[in-house]
Amino acid sequence: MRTRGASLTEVMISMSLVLVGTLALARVLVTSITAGASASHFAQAEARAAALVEQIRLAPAPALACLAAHGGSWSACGAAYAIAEPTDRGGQSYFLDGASRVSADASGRLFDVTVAVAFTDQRRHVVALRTAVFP
Amino acid sequence: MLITVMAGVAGTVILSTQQDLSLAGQDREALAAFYAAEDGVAQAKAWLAARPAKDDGAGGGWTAILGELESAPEGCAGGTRARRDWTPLDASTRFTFCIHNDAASRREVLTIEAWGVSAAAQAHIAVDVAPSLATIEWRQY
Repeated sequence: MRTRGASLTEVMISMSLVLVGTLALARVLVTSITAGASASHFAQAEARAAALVEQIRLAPAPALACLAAHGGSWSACGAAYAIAEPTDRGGQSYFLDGASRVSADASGRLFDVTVAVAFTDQRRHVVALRTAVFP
Repeated sequence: MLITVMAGVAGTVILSTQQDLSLAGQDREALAAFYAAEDGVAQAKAWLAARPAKDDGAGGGWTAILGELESAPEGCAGGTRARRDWTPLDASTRFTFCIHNDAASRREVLTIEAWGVSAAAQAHIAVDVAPSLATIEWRQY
């Protein structure tokens, strides 16, 4: 006598397929969330780097000379020359990378400026902006 | 049916993430190109500052400099095209600039044209400067 409906084997195969699909989708979602967060971190780092570059572009010559003399510790030249919000709302920290520098040319009037803001999520990333300032 | 819906959701999520990453990258490239062009403006101002321009009231103090610009690499070729070689800032970012007389203006100003290029963006800035090197007008293209 033939019974109606699905056998246990058929149900298990179907559930396995659904499980595999669900796991794959979950993995895609996790990767997507991670990548989306990384894109957001890059945008945040870029905004902080641009804000700092703008502060330096507005700086008078003595402040630029101070920045050139102080290497990686720009906050010694004023609070305006530090990253304004080192931690974002999500708790991600941003800090000045060692590649950041201000250097004067031979005339002492033209300053080469590199601002590099770093953050670490899955790995370390650096967003660097380079320009020159003639105050 | 369920598998089709899952594939659709996954595809949408991947496309959305790719777009986010692409936009963030384009922003960075545009900003790098803009600041490279600003580098060119600063270099042009330094070049002008090294010249003995005086505000003589007649030619705006630029007469001697305009003569030099006719043959100097810092002068513009063909109106607003840089004659000067590109200066690299890193592997993908570079700038150039040129300086020309603002023939359309009667305000005795020079115009600095600067271009910045990064891996995926470019920027062009034009700045009018008076003999004191004060920026009196600023345009970005």
